Amino acid sequence: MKAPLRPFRATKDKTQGKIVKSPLSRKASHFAHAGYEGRDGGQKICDFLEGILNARINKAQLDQIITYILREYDTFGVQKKDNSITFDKLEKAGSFLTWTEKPIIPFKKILWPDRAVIPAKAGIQEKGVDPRVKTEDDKLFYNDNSKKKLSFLGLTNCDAQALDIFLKEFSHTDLLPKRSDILVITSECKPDENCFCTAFGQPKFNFSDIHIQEEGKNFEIFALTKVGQEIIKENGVSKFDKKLKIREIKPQNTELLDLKSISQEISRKDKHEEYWQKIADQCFACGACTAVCPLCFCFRCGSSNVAIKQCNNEISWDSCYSSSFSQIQRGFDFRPKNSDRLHNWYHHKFSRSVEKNGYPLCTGCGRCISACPANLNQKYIVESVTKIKDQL
Amino acid sequence: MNYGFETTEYEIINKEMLTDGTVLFHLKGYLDFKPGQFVEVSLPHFGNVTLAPCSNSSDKKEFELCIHAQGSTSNAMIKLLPGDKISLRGPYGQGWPALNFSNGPTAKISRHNLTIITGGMGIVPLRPILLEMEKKVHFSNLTLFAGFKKTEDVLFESDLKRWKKKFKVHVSVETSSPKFWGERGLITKSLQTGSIDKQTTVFMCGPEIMYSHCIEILNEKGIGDKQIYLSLERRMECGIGLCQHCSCGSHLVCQDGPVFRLDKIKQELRIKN
Repeated sequence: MKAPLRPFRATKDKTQGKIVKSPLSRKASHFAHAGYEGRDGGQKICDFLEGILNARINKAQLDQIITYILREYDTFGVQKKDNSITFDKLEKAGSFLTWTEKPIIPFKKILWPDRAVIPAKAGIQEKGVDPRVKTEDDKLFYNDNSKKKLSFLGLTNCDAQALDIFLKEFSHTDLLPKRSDILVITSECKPDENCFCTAFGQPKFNFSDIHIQEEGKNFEIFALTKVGQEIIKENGVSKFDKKLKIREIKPQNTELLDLKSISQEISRKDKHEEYWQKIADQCFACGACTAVCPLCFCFRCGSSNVAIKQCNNEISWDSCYSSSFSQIQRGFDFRPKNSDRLHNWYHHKFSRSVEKNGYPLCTGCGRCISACPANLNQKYIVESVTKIKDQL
Repeated sequence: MNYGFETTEYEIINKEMLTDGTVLFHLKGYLDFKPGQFVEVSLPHFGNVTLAPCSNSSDKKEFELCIHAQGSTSNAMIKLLPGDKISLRGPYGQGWPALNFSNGPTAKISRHNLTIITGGMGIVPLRPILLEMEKKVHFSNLTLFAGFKKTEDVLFESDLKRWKKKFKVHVSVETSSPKFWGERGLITKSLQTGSIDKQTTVFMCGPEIMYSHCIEILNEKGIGDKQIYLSLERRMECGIGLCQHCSCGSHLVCQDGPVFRLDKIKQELRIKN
């Protein structure tokens, strides 16, 4: 009798909150990315980076720092709007939330909005001129013509790491700002049942300029970079305490992902057709995972006809799950089945990127699992690919 | 600043009807491209098409684009007339590998042997290579196998007849009219019976179904995968390695291709040994 298929669906984790030792924990990290370390043998994140400034501050001091940032930067932050947590233009310091769930749509909507327009001039895009212009709602759009630098407040560590990777993917063009042009402030995260950043090892906190965690009614602030240190000193923070430590992210109930093996198995699609078909049979191909993933950025180049003598060239979000994603002339399709397109998504994130860059296009934020209407668990799917013999 | 979407306008100065539905535009200006690269051409109010420049790449005054009407944008483009303008991004991608030839009055005869295999519109990205080789006085070790579906589909007929005087040229059509000057049958039949130097370098462009049959024949003739280069067609949108539409296995065709050496891409073509 075949062993039952490991459920691909998200289930309530019965051991939630407990640290579960993985049989892989004795192995060293498999990951080349600077941000990942295995649980054993690596630097504990509670050790400070050299020169870090740690301080305990109160609400008034935090508000002063945020107000300063609002004045000096184009600021976007995690806040509550219409009863949901969102990442939007921050208008006032009091709106900023320091300890909350992740917003479902991450920072990418600011840097790479769902629609960007190249001005109409017979589709001519001049050299050195930023092709993006403001959409109607200019609160959601980063305009390169702004003289202020950007500031992102309240990112979780996984989102800050995703931002780092996102910028690297675009670094061969000037479409996105450099990391040095963005002030990144992370807040202590509130993991939900779908988070799995610790599946890549205990995360390091080296993707932001300032990290904030709540401590009772006060806050502990960690200025991790020179820019971060200048800002807090500029705003009256002068008493530092080296004993303060950044709290570890509580390990989620997940085994370490063996990225090298996963990459190899995913690249052998022909060997595992039945596995991918079983998943595709349950997948709606709605593309919700691609919309919420901070590291999905596929787009279409199209045009919109504004008026008789005016035509805009447009860049708009696309999803690799869409049926025409790989279609060419005369309707010939290189990925005609949902299983082909679904496999391509996993292949890009966990095989092609690992092979090319040394890291996956995933930081374990778990938004894909939360957003999936078919209740699929993408982390289980990736983890199970090395155990297919046991599954089928 | 490099945003990657810079476009340039070019004026059409001449238009030739090659076949019913296929047009050759001559455009004014210099396009700095390598044979095998592609450009994204846009027509306002319609969209974009991916095309391969098909003239001699060293021509500084004009270049040529061949368009076959397939969808709404290309159908609209073939109706353009001299004086009209198109906007173009690129060129992008990796072209055909450069073969080192010495030139000039004391040039040694090149030891290179080149075999070019094309199917249908696949001759378009290889035409710049053929035009370039035609100008090399001391080089004639080139064999061209060009296949088309019908006599009416044969492209660049005057070029083919001219090349026949210098190189070995086999033009095959599946369905030919009685007066057709070439061969009748599939390209694979010519390839099977034709003589090919084992040291040859093969440049191939056409439908992928053609690749699997031709590769089988070439391997049987002792030509290895490292000697064969082919041009892949995928959905190109951005051309700058970001939009992911052209991904093919571990590669992005717009950046790592469209020309690939066969051993690097064979697994993705699912060609059985």
